[in-house]
Order: sequence, then structure tokens, then C-alpha cells
Amino acid sequence: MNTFQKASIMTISAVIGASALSAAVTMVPALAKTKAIHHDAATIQLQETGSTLLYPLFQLWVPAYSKVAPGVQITPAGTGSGTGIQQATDGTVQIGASDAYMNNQLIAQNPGMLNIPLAISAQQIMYNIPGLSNKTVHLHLTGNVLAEIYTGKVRYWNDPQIARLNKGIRLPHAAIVPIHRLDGSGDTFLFTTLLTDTNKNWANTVSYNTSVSWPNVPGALGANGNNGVVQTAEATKYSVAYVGISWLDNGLKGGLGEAAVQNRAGRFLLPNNATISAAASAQVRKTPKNERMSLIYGPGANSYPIINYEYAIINKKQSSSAVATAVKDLLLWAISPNGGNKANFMTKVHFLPLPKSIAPLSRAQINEITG
Amino acid sequence: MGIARLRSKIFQVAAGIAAVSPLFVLLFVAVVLLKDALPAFRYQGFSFYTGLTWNMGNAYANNVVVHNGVQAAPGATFGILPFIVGTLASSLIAIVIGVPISLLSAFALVYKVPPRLAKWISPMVELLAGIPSVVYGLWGVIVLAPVIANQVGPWLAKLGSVIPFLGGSIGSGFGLLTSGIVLAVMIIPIITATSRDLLAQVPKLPIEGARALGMTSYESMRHVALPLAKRGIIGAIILGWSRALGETMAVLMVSGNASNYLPTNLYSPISTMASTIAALLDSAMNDATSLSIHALALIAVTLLVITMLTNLLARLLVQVGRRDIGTEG
Amino acid sequence: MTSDMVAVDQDLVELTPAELKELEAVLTGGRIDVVTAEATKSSVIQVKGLSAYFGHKQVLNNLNLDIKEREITALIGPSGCGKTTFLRTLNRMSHSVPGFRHEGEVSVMGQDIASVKDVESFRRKVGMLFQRPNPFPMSILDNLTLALRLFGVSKKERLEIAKAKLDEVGLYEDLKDRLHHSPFALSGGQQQRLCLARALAVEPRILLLDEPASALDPKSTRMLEDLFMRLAEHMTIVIVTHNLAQARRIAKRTAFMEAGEIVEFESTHALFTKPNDPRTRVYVEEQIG
Repeated sequence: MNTFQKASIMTISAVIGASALSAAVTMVPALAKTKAIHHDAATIQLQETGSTLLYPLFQLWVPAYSKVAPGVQITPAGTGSGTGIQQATDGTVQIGASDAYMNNQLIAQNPGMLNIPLAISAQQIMYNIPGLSNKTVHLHLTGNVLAEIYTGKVRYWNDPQIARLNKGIRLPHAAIVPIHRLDGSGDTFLFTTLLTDTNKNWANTVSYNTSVSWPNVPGALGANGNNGVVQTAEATKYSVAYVGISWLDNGLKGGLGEAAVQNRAGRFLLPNNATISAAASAQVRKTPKNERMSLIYGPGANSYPIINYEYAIINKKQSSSAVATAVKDLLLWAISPNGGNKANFMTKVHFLPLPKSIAPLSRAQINEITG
Repeated sequence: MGIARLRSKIFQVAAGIAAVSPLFVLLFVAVVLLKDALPAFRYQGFSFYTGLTWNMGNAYANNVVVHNGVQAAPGATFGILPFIVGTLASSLIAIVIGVPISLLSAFALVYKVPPRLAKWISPMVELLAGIPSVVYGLWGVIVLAPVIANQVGPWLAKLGSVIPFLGGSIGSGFGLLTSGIVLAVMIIPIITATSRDLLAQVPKLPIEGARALGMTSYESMRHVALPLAKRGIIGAIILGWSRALGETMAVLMVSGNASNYLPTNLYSPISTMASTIAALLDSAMNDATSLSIHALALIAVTLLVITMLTNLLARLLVQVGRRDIGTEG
Repeated sequence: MTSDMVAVDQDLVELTPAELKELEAVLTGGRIDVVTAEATKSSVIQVKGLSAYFGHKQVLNNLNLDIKEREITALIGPSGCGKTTFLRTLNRMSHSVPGFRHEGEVSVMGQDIASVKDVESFRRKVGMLFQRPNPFPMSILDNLTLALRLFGVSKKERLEIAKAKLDEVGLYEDLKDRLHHSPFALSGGQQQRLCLARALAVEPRILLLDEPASALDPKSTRMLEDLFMRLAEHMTIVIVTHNLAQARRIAKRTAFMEAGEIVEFESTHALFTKPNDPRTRVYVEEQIG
């Protein structure tokens, strides 16, 4: 083989490499199709995919549930909430997992889809300001000011809008580096919902989604995944970031500050079991039958403002009555305080159990599932 | 028909299929992608390539908008110029840094390093080529980005009065220069390993001739060995470049992932096409109109075309170089 | 006449280095026509007790010989006898092979090769032609001028030298319209003559030939041999050859080597007609048949 042939083979494979990448990315959902398979009368296989935040919880649940229902085999996968919704909708999987509820457009297209809360999660705002550690103080921030920061209107840490919230704290005249998730993420959904709820301009221009078109702020950074956000924030002085609650300890260990965020009642709170439970309980009565509702910036003096339901996305109509029963049983076990919502599962993944009073709504939805 | 003839027949058919299969794979990928990408082009037109704003629209709105017969979420605009610029700029930096280093290492491995030592070093080069890109990305985040932000950047910025692109704010260390360097480190083993094999195949006699004429080892490589291996080495560089163009994970980690604006200097955060596709696919599925998915497919088509164009361009350069064999007037 | 020459030799001993250099230049420039007798030729290469090794393997064993200037010296002997290694030691090409080392003294133009610091400048004075033509991958003209360009010779001068050297090897008329073409389209003989012209372009004083005609047809071989004879009028040539007839045709003196040793070093005529050593006799008889 002469050098020319060698070179052409190399270039062809390079093109294929590059194109295969793009092809693979777009074709993944199509290739992944599998049906629930009845191995024999005794075993039913269920596929779960979606939210990477819920994935660790499913990994804890699978061995525990195999003791409860030995005839059901669950295969979980962490692929992203959007993928979870998509594959549950087109029947590739029986259970989709999502940090965000399905939007009205998708529900209109797929009226048979249920959004069933499995647990409560939360998010905190973290910052890297040298000399301002958690030992001394938690910076006070509001959704409105965060929106101003992420649109580039508030550029420096000692801006009057921030100073007004933090009287007596010496703030540096340093440019703020806002960090956002660049990958589609439930955390972006929560954060942008808070900004939408607290800042008109944000609501009208950027709005909320699992990824949004971030306003052009010089020096602003995007990072991949919660670990990427924490890493980037630790490496970047004067940055601010939103981080999923399960990464709180990690960020604190890395020297990041944790902000107290203003709730609807005007109080500045940190996320903890008390403030998250308070926020969840306060909104049970407002939750509609389909449970597709934002818990962001809810009422209650002691309510932490950035919490959400973590959802199972389920098609009402399953392939057979046996599969339908298996899915129903699994979900009922999952939301039960003696089953999947048990404290030893929840604390491991930094979730909170569903408020007791929300259970009837979820059970009603679960009972809609048929074969 | 005898067994031997049957075997030969089977071999011929198999070889034929294998020979044309790259073409078919390419064609298949292109057709599938094009079909998927078409609605995005109908919606956005040529401003897809000139626009600065990428916005998948408000998926949680209760209405959809229609433009040129294509449904979209309200506010959807797809402009990928920043991604194109980010991809080309970061890969070019990688080439500019990586190629001289690769060629020198390859040259050293073939002509300078004693064979007994080269026997140990050579497999290391291949080993480096096999390291997952996430590892390079992590190195970029932990080691390189702070060095760029605190040491290299401030030093380079002093040249800003001479070369404007080097001046200005250095920022956090996540951006164009860091991406380019990480990509360079990733493609150096690829180009080195391939060039090394090619240089090792260059006939010894012309190089000995050059050495016997009193040319230094550098001169003999530059003027005799390199021209003999040139076509292959260009192929190796294209291979490295394609890798840099399509690299996703490492760039995702160190580029700063800017959207909606063009880089203003060497340190600006950027985004690339490959990393954008990977990052936004999941959210795109939230778009009930599917237009976001089509737009990502159109980015993929564009990346494919750019990869093919860089290939063609490099090939053309080789052809021109061959015709222009004389340099003396 | 002879007594005069002896006197000159004695005088040489008394000369200062500068004067010696001057005289050397005069002699090698061939400007004193009267200095033609055998005895006046000084040794341009002096080898004393040369042994050489590749790693632990000894390839040359205690070689001693003087090679006179402005004549052709041939090295013959069976394959693997070390004659090519010896030739390549003279311009330090052997030394680029990992593991090679030598002992003893090899003086080339008055300089011990072991003490050569600037190998490149040294090699410019010791040209080499290889077993097969090895043109560079560039135009015919560039082949001739590349080294000159790198040594900083002006473009005008380069072109003049290129033409002169092509002319010297008898290629100019054939190639003058094709100077910008690739050399790879030329015949083997033409390519080898081009390589010779290339070697001559940097004005070496010694030419080492490593079986230069082994890949060529008889006609091209004769043409090259004629060239070597003419070149030997003003430069020193050492040729390794398997072709004994060739050695007989062109070499003034011939060394017969076997197993890394010089068995016999004599005038060519003497070596072929009345060899002193039985090993030489056997080899010569077998080869000529």
C-alpha cells in the first residue's frame, strides 16, 4: 500500500468518524427501541430512562424492588429528561423520568401521557467570592437580582442592587461570571422558572425551559452537568452558579459559598429539610389533578423558593394488562413512605419524600394506567 | 469450479463490497441527515449560517408560530455562526500548535531517538491517542485553564497592542485558547503516530544522499524526507483536523460554551458545532414542533460539509504542491 | 628529477602550517603541471590501526593504508568484508548508525575524523555516490542547487554552478530544456550522473563511490567510468566495487579486503597480475573465472 492510498483511507475514515458522530447523535433514540418483553409467564421486564438526577434513585430502587416483586425486572438508564419524555411517549420505554413536567404542546399531542411526581428535589445558588466563605455569611440574593446578573445588567458584585440586600458586607468590585448549564437540564428549568417568576424582562425575553437562549453576558460560562458547573465555579473567581441539591456538599467542600434566596414572603432562606418540606406542603392544595405544576417561588413564610417535583412520565395505555399492572405496582411502591419514599433512599440522593397529602392525587393518576 | 477458484470469487465479492461500503455509509448518513435537516432550513433560510442567536423558543408556551409552512415554538431563531467560528477557530489553533510539534516528534522518533529507546516511546504515542477525551478535558479544566487565566493570558495580552486579537479581557481561562490547546494535545499523538509510520517508510537512500552532501539532519528532513512523505503527512494532518473539528466532550468542558456572540479575542468563551449538538439534543426533545431537532440535524449536516471541504481543500493543496515542483526561477 | 622531488619532500617537513596549506592548494588545484610523478603525490587519507564495531561485533580489524591524492583507489573483496563500512567511515556516515564506534586513527585531509566537530562542513569536502541513484524529490535543477542554497550561495552563482556541473557530467545538452522537470523520469544512468553532478556542485576534494554502477547497464557504466577517470585528474576518488574489471580499468591502486582486514594493497596492475597473498589470488581467479 503506497502512502497515497494510506492517506485516502485515513481521510475517508476521518469523514466517516465525523459524520458518524453526528449521525449517532440524531439516531440514538431511534436505535434504542425495545419493547417490554415477557420472558415467560413469571418475568416482566420494564425499561426506565431519562433524568440523570433520578437515575441514582432508580439504581437504589431496583435491587430493593426485586425483593418486593421478584417477577419484575427493571432496567434503568440515565439519558436526560427530554429523552425520558420522548421515549416514554413513543413507547420505547415504559417509564420515563424527568425533572420537568411535559409542556402543554407535548400533552396536546400526546393526551395519554401522565406526569406522576415521585419525590421532591431542590436547588441552591452558589458563588465563588474569595474572602466570603460560608463561615462568616451567606450572601442574600433574589430571583430578580439573579435575572439582572444573568442578563448582564448587574455586572459587579458591589452593584447597589446586591449591596442593598447585603448591608454590612464588604463586596468586591469584581466582574460577576455567571455560569449556566449548557446541556439540557432540570436545573436550568428550575432556575429559569424562578427568574421568570421574579423578573418581567426575563419572562418576556428568555423565559424558562430545560435549556434557554442565554443573554450575551461577556465572560459568562456554560458548563456540562452539575459536576461541570461545580468544577467551573471552583476554578473561576467571582462566579455564580445554580447547582442541584445533591451537589451541595461537593460545592461547599470546594470552597463555594451558598446563597440565601428570597422567597415569595420576602425572607432569605437556605435549602434544608425544613424549608423544602414547608415549600412542598404549602403547595399541595394548589396542585392540579394532572400534577403538572411548578413549585418554584411558592407561598409560605418558611418555604425555600427553588424546589420541584421529580416526575415519572407514563403512557396511560401500556402494551398489555400484565405490563400495566407491573408499572402500577412499581409506582405505588415508589411513592409509598414505606416503599421507595423511605428516608434511607431519599437521603442518599438528597431528595425529600412527597408530602403525605399529595399521595391521593398521584394514586389517582397511577390508577388510570391500563393494559 | 474448484475450491480455490470459489475462494477467490468470494474474496473478490467481499473485497468489492468492502471497497464501496464507505461511499454507501457516507451517502446513507448524508441522506438521512439532509432529510432530517430540511425543515430547519425552510424555517430559517440562509440566516442559519449568518445569525448570531440560537434560541429553541419557548417550549412551555401554549401556542406555536408558523413560518414558511414550518411550525416552531414562539421565539425560535437558529443562527449558528458563533458555533461555526468557534469550531474553525479552535481547530485551527490546534493545527497551528499541534502540527509542528507532531512532525518534530515523528522526525525525532524515526531519525534521532536510538531505536532501543524509540521501541519504548513509540507505543506511548499510540497510548496517548487512545486516552478518552474526557480525561483531556479534565486536565484542561484543572490544570490548563488556570494557567491560561493567570500566567499565559496576561503575558500574551501584552502583545495586544501589536496583535489586537491577543489583547482585551482574559477572563476565566475557559475559552478559545484553552480549547485550541486541549485539542492540540489530543491530535498530536494521532498526527505523530501516523507521520512517524510514514517517515519510517521513506527510502533511506535520498536522505543519506542529503546527509553526505553536508546537509544537517533538519535540512534533510525538511527538504528531502518531508516532500517524499508529504501526501501521507497531509493525510495525517487532515485526520487530526477532522478529530479536532468533531471533538465533543473535551471542548464541552473547557470552551466556556458561549452562545449568541462571536469571540472578541483569543480568550473569549466559544462553542463548537459538535458540542452544541451533544449538549442540546435532550432539551430539543421538549420542543413539540420537533424543529429544534431538525435544527440540530442541520448543524450536523453543516459539520459534515465542513469536514468534507477541509478534506478537499487539503487535497487541492497537495495537487498544487505537486505541479509546482520547481522552486528555482 | 627524482632527486629534486625528494628534496621537495624534505622541504615539506620544514614548512609552516600556512605554507603547507598554500602548497597543498597549489598542488590540488593542479596548477603546477610538472608535479606529476607518483612520488610527489601526498596521502590525502591516512589510516592507522583502524578497527570498527557495530555494538559488540567487530567489522574492521586493524586497517592500515594511505590513499594518495588525485588518483582512483579501488576497494574490492567478497560481500560483508567491510569495504563499504570502511568507505562510509571516511565521511563519518557509518557513525550515524546507532552502536557504531571506531578505534585507531583516520586522517582525512589532515584532520582526524574522530575530532571532526562540524560534520556538515567536513562532508562538503568529501562527496559520495551511492549504489543506486538517489535524486531528491524535486526538480532536476533544485537537486543541483538545494545544498548550495542552504550554504548561502547566491542564486546567480547557483545557476552557473548547476550548468557547469551538468555540463561536466555530460547531461547539460540533454536536459537544458527540462531543468524544471522531475528527475524520476530520467534513465538510471542519467539519474546517477545527475547525482554525481549534485555531489560535485559543492566542490568536494574527495569522492567516495559505493558501487556506483552496480544498478546500471554496461553503456552507462562505461560513461560513468570515463567521468571518474577525468575527475581523478584533479580530485581523489575511492571506489568500492564488485566488478573487478572495473577496478582494473580505472583504479591506479587496489586494496583487497577480506573479513574486515586488508589482505593486500598494491598497484592495480600488480594486484591482479601477481598477487602476493594466496587469498588474493584465489579471489581474483574465481571472480575472473
